[in-house]
Amino acid sequence: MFGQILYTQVKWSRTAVAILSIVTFATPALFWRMVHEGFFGQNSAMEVMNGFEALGPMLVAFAVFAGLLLVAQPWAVDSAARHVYPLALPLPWRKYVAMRFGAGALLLVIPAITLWLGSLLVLALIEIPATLRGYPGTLALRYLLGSLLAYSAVFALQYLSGRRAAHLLLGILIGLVVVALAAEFSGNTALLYSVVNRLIHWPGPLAVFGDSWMLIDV
Amino acid sequence: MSDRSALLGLLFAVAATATRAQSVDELRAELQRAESRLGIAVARQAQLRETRLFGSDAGLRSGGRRVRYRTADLSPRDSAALSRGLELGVTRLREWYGDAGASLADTASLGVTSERRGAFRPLVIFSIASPNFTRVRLSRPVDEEEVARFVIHEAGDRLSARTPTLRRFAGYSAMLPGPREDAEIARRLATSWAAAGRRCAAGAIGACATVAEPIGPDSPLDLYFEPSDFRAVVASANRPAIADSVFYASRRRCLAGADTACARLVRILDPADPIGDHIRGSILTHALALGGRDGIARLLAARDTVPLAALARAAGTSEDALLSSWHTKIYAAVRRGPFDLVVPFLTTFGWAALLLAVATRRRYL
Repeated sequence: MFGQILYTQVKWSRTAVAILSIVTFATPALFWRMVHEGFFGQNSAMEVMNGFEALGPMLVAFAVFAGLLLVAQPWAVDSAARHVYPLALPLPWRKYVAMRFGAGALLLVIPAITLWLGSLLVLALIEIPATLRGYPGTLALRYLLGSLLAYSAVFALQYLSGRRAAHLLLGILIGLVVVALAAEFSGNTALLYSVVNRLIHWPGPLAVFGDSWMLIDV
Repeated sequence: MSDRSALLGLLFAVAATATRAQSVDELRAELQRAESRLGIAVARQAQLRETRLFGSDAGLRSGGRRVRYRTADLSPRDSAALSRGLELGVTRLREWYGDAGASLADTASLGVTSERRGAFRPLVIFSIASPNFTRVRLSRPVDEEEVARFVIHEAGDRLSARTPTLRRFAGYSAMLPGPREDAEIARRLATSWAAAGRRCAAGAIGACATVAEPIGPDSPLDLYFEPSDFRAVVASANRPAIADSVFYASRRRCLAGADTACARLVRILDPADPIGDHIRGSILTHALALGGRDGIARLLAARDTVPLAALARAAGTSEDALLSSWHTKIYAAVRRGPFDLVVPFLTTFGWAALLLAVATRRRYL
């Protein structure tokens, strides 16, 4: 049965996964080219670090987007057919939801693998100074964990609130922006920073996003 | 005598008195006089700042320390947090560096000031400052951890001010140990534009000893830099006060990649410090940590003129052993092991399982 659900998941979200995979594969090389003229030639340690400075935050955004996309697409297809497919299956709802979750989570591995391959490629093209090292595997694993966490959160929101999920997500985002602006305008940022710090550092739920997402480090 | 002859005579007389030759001793004496005048001016400036800073109408005392602020600026809750922050800073100093460490902050006079910024969105920025004008922005509501960090930072500044050999060993990391600061220092060393800094990062203790000495006009450049570093040296060097178009043309050629122009300019420019005071501050912190509770007392009593010798005395070890253990410590903060991802891995899977359990609890279509 899991095979069937995985098949539908692949069928419904293959385009999104393919685009995400191409993007994550190309991103490390694109970042390098945006800062430097070419891949060959000697670069100082500082120049090498600068080449990938913004890669981490960008990959965090991709990871969150991947999680969002892999929940929203299958739900939208299911919803368009008024959920006849899951309700027609000889499965309790709880088991169906778990299998749907597993199928989506499995597909998250593909962009992570292409990110790893893209990182290996760019590390093979450029010369890294002796004081620095490349961490393609660690970066890809962090990306996978980040996308899994985002996927789980959006999945829970979607399957708990159904069609209202998009409005709820938008409401949460607007609420966060309003709180951040209010704290900044009133000069009371300490509490906000404290909450964010607790969330993004262990044992906070978003600790994986607070770690260092660096392709090249000491 | 014609007017022309009189004018010429006057000119010769002025030239003879104005361009008299000056010996090295005379120039040195003049320099000393100028430095003394500068010292007086700086002291007067500090006095004026203190008057401005501490002319506020309210304040609190905590031990020998006092903090001044305007009553309108801080609520009673903020004032209490400020007091707790002061105590916390001194308690940490005592815990880490003994009574000698705490005494560095004992007579600190601090001030909380406010300034309005921005016309479109007036924002009141609160800062905590000391008379020597170390100043950091203060969040609202006042965070006692932030105040404690400021007190420790200020103590580091006071310590390096009391030991002239260590004047260049301050910065934000002085006396404030922590893995996050260590990791930052490790990265800065590894990406240093001085070859000595990078060699130090790679584990060459001799190179660490080189960069621990602040670079000066008489320092041999070859010890610090390699020819491949010259472009970065020229880019970051202090530009001469008076420079002609030939200099700027040469500088442009160097920055465009002409190595010969860089090699020529490096010899005439005053290179900027390749590693900065905060990295040295971290060696100071480590030496004090090794020296235990008597470390600061030993440091204050040391009469060494070489900074590393003074630090080794405070640490109670040799210079090489001090640098070697410092290097090990800062790189331990960034070195990654195979199990580094185990905790995020388990945490993420735990949260994912929890969220899945929540999602399966309700059937909402």
